[in-house]
Amino acid sequence: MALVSVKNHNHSRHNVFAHHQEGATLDQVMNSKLIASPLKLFDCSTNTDGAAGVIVAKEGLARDLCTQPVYILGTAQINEGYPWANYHKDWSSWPALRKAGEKAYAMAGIGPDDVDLAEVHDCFSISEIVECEELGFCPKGEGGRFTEDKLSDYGGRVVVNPSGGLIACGHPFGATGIRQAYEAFVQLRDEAGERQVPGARVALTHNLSGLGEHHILIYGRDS
Amino acid sequence: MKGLEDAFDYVVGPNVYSLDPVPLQTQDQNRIYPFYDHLRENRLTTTQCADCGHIAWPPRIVCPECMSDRLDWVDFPEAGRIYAFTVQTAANPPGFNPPMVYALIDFDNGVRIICPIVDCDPSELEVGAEVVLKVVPAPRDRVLFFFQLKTKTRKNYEAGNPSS
Repeated sequence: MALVSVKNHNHSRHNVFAHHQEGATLDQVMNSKLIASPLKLFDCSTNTDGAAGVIVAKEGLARDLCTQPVYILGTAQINEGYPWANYHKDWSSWPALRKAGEKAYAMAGIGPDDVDLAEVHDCFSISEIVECEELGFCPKGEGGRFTEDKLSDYGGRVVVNPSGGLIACGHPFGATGIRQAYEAFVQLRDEAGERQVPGARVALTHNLSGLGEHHILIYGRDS
Repeated sequence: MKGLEDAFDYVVGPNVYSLDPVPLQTQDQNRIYPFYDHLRENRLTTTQCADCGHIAWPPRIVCPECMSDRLDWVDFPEAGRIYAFTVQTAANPPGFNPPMVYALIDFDNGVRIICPIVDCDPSELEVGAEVVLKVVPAPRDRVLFFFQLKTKTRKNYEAGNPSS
């Protein structure tokens, strides 16, 4: 879990819009204040203020408005329903996210292996680990190893939270989802500067809420 | 949990801090009102479907498995066991003083409940420990329920068996 925080804090060093741009070491994360065992301060996203915006247009119109639009290839939203409808027993599985991922991949006509970068809802470090599993980036139960082996970092299988994610960008409720869309946009336009994912063709964003709505968008670009 | 009274001061007392989080519990306000009536009798109950037998948690007005509305009220086993727990040491809601313990509690009827455990030092807790119901009065004639370690209940102390 701590390595998720280290990775995301190091990603945000190159993001001028991030709340935290100083990076973090494993020691710093492990020695930070305990919040709710085993989560420490650096495992938690920072409450912050912020705003973000996007312009959504029809495909034909988008080409007139902008020289290099990015395209929504697939989307899905599924509500877990807890704690009211589907009070599930295993909190390390988010079946609604898995289903939403499968639907969005199907709509986009791709699979998890085709995703170059993903902005996922790392409200806490453990969340990113569960999300990597449910989105099919790695098998169930191996999200921790996936992070440890740097497969969710640059040079790995998929770059997860190149912006720094909620942990390092901060989490302005409501703005976070659009902020994720912004990251997909700049990455797919090769405009992300030092945090650019080389050759990014497909981006995925995942957002959730306390009521268990899992929302996924998959973005692509021309050519 | 320390300071529950402080917490209620925040939410429904003179210094109203936020929305009242305690459910309305009477028959004209809530269709699962028997649940709260049973709590007042120190009983933890839920609904079981008379058609398919599914025990639901939380209690329902319609069975989530088969949509039947023929539901019976059934009692929980007296004690449950801690499956996992976390100790919140910071960022508690106003009025709720740290540390607060939240646990997943397994019962023999197949239900797993997430609920705070009160009246304990976090160091006394372990996975597998038995916990029992603790009903706490809430403002405006309402009740809330928590759990406490079975070893800490009065009955166990009186039996001279505080650590079993």
